[in-house]
Amino acid sequence: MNQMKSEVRDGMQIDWDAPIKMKDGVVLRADVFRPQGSGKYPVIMTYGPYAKGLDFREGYKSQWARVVKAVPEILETSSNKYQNWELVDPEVWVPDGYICIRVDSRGAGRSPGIIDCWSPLETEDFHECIEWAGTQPWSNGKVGINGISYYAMNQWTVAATQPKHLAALCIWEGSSDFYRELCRHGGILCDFLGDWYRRQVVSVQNGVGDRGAINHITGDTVAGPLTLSDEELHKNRANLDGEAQNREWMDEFYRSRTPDFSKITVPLLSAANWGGQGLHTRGNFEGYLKAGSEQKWLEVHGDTHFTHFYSKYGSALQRKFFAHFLKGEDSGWLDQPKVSINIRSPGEQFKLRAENEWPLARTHWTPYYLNPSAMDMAPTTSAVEAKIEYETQSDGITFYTQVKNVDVEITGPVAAKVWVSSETADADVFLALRLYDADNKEVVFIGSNDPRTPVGLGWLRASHRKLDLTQTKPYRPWHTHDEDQPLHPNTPTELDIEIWPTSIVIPKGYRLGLNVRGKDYEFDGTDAGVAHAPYQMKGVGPFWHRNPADRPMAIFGGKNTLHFSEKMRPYLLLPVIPVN
Amino acid sequence: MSTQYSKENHPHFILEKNVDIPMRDNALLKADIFRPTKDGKYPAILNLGPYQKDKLWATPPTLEEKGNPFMNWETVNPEIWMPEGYVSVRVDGRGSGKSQGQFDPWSYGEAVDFYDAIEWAAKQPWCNGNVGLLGISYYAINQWFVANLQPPSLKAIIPWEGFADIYRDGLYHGGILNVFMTNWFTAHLLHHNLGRASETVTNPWERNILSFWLSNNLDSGAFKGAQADWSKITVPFYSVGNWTGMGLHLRGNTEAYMMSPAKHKKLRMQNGSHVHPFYTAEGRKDQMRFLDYWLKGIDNGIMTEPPVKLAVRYGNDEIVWRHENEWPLARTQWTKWHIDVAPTEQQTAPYNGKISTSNPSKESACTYAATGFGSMGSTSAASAQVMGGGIKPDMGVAFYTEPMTEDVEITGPLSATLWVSSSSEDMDIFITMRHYDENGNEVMDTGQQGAPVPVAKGWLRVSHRELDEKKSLPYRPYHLHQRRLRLTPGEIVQVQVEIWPTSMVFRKGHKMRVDIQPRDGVGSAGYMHYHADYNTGTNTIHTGGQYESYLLLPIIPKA
Repeated sequence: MNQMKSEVRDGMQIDWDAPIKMKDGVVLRADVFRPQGSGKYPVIMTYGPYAKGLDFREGYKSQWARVVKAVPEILETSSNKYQNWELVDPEVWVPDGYICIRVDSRGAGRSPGIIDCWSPLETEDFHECIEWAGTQPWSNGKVGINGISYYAMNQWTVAATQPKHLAALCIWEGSSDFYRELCRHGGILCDFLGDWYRRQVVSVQNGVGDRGAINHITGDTVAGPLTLSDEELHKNRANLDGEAQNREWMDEFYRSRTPDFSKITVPLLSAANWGGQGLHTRGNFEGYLKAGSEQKWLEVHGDTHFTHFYSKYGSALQRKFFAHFLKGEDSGWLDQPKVSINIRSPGEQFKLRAENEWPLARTHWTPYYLNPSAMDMAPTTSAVEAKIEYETQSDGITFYTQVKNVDVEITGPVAAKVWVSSETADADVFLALRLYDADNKEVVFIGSNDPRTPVGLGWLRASHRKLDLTQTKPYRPWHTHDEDQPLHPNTPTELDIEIWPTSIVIPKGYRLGLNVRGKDYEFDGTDAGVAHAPYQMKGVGPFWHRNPADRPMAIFGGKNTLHFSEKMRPYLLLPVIPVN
Repeated sequence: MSTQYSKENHPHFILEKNVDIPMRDNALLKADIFRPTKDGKYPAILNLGPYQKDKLWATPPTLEEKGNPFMNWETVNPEIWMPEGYVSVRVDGRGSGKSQGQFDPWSYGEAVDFYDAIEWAAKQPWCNGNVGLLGISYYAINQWFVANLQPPSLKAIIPWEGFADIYRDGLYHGGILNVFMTNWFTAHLLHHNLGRASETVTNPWERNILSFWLSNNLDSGAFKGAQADWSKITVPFYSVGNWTGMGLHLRGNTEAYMMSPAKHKKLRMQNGSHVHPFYTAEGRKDQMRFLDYWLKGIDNGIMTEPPVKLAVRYGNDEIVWRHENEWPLARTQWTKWHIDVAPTEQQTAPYNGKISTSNPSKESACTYAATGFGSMGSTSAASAQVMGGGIKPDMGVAFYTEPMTEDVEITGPLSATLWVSSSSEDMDIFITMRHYDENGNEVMDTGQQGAPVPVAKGWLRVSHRELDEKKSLPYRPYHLHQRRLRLTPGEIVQVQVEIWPTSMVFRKGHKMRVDIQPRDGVGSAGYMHYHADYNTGTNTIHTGGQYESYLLLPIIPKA
């Protein structure tokens, strides 16, 4: 029997495994960290599958090492022994007058049941947990959510169910479109889901018990107390990646895991990472734009998935936001610009800039026409009849901007229009925006999940090219993914390809390249050599597209061809930001 | 034993016991403070660690200083230091001895505690505002780590035999686990659960320390609190290492002198026991003159003397002290001594090779078993020492020089560049430099732990061969330890092996021998290594022609 344990420790009143009963009778478990005494405080709550008892420093040792390297001040403000992957540190937040609650989602960590990530049932559970936290004797009735990734993604969905006590969202690198961002990029299956599930979820599924990690503070198993057989564990979890693999087209599986944004009305801060291509970046922009909330803010940063969540910059932003909405303090949040973006330059240089909207109203949307004779791209065009063939298993072909003697800023969503033919009935087109310095060396950036990411990435399976014209904008094509439109072999077909939002100041003397390829981007073919890295890092982190069941070589191998003519004038639409 | 505060008057000092030192997070650490009998303001010498201030060190009769009831392991003797006008503050680290909390050895948190204790001491009425650190081993090691944080009141440190990088010096030599560290944990830290301290601190651990050490088997940054950041270590220091500390306290002390930008730094390299020299008149003179200069402002000339003091060894514990102006020595003749495995007679184990001054034109290779066979056989996952019967003496390959035609001195850092391959996906290389006299008897020295030791040792797990190009020097390769580059069986790769610095004079007629082995070689007592299960099958050394394999030796010309 799993009993709640309460103790005072490190100045906090801690309830370990506090029970929260769901309406179907399943009792979920939460750790509650709150100030001592009888006061009422606002709640920062999270709900997810990473096991609340797992010590960040040991369960995610490679990432922890990178946090410490990027944000050494984290070591000064806390003992860090309560740190848990992608969540706030109670040792920092509780003394500031917040209650931190971490709920193990159904079937994960200490919570029994069948685990089904991002399912509608999880969203209902989360809703109930929020209402529970808002009505406890120690609660001031205001519940905020603050977390990275999983703990950000499910903020979009739960907010759309409008829990009464939900008061503010800080959505730190959280995708919001289950199909387009997590499972299938431009229709192409991303391998991340399956790898992630085994690595980060199945390893702490409820019932791993004695075979898994120990919570060093309580001495309890992080995924117990029961130890279940492999068969029982298998039975207790949904076949998440199998579902995504078997469902190529948009359907109820995906729709039910994507919110109705118009129903999100709570104040929110959406924090995106330029380097999160392959998972979160797009969702923070799209969610911000679509959310029905009147009070909403967008912030964009660089560096790893977790750096700024814990950095002085990022944590100050979060504190200011929650002090305003959860404590009703005059924290100065109302002076926060609607959009604040860290404009990116080579060498991990960022310049914070306040803006009023996204995309920026003053953008000069500039088509850069691809020129097959010079292999360059420029805002001017002339009709050329040409074909360029490329091996899908090669590094593809690249068109470069011309060298300028001034810096040029590109900030915003990017789109490309190309005419492609294939020897077969389909083609997967991978686009990479790559920056080259004056010595023609590629300049890469620390991204969320890989230290060497390019400026931008885009993907499209040609058979998924059907657009929803009501949602499509010139700079952001919107594919419906609801109708198979095979190619006619060797027949040029027009494709509109989305490249996820980005920001780069192209220094004078540098060139931007559009790399058209038939497989995933790789920087120089080497692994980045990050110690204890949970996966190879060659430029796209864990976001590969290599599943032969989804991409049989008989269809997606071989050669593809780009076409140019009087009528077929392919271009890259770049958001050029004028110097004021 | 009590945790109550008390004040006692003794003939040589006033002792305040169980003084609370507040930390920035409001934790209180307990300390014992030894002060001169006469009121006044004195510099303070601090120690902070897990060895417990209330644990008496019963000194051996061989110690030059006479023992007394206030001796404490690896810290200064109060009966001698307090009458000289110093305060000694012995702090029980968080979670150790009398201090509540959770212990996390050499963590960043411990360094922050140390910082707070230093700044607290500087503000006490008995302190002249100047704090110095002096101690052996643990009490030397964490001097580097608190120096990383640059406490303003810290004016001088003397890390007396203290490693400076827990990954490279302590836990993972060339990437191979040094079981000294896991043994140290049981020898010294189980008191936290089983000894008297467990009555005071009932929940002593910050986390599972062994698991933390073992799972962070690459230099990921997890040990950041336990790695000197040389760019930050600018406090005046007197770094003291021991040639016979190969396996723990040697490399860190020479690295400090080579890498730190400190304007005022000194290096002393000694031999023999880990504790005895600290408690000699000769050793104490170096300590006290340095601290008198930096903590009391007495210009006794120590900082205008040559900064490097070396015990040049001749073997059999014979040494000659020599002063030098730099490290490595500017006059060093960096010399390649090539190894050659071309068969001379029949090639059965043990393999013997030659050492020559030029690269043999002929390519040769010799293959040897990577696994030892103990009295209980061999299981590939285990080190030989835990499978019965110890390590076979003749595993691997041995190389001999011709007898020296004159006295030859080797003093400095050194390295080996080898071409190697394996029948498995990895390969452990153990290099032992040895010394033989004209009668063929091995010449050894008494090691830091009391057991005989050879001239020098180096280690590398081949998958860890990737170098940090910025930090590497020809005579001191610096490995990244960021990722494992596994071998394809049969793949021949070049590796550079760091051999820890040494000093040895080979007299005329003596020979040098170099062993390259798959297991710990002779003189490893105390510092054995753990082999993972892929270190099996056969390993091969390639020499000559395109496989130029050699030692880079620091030969010191006669004055």
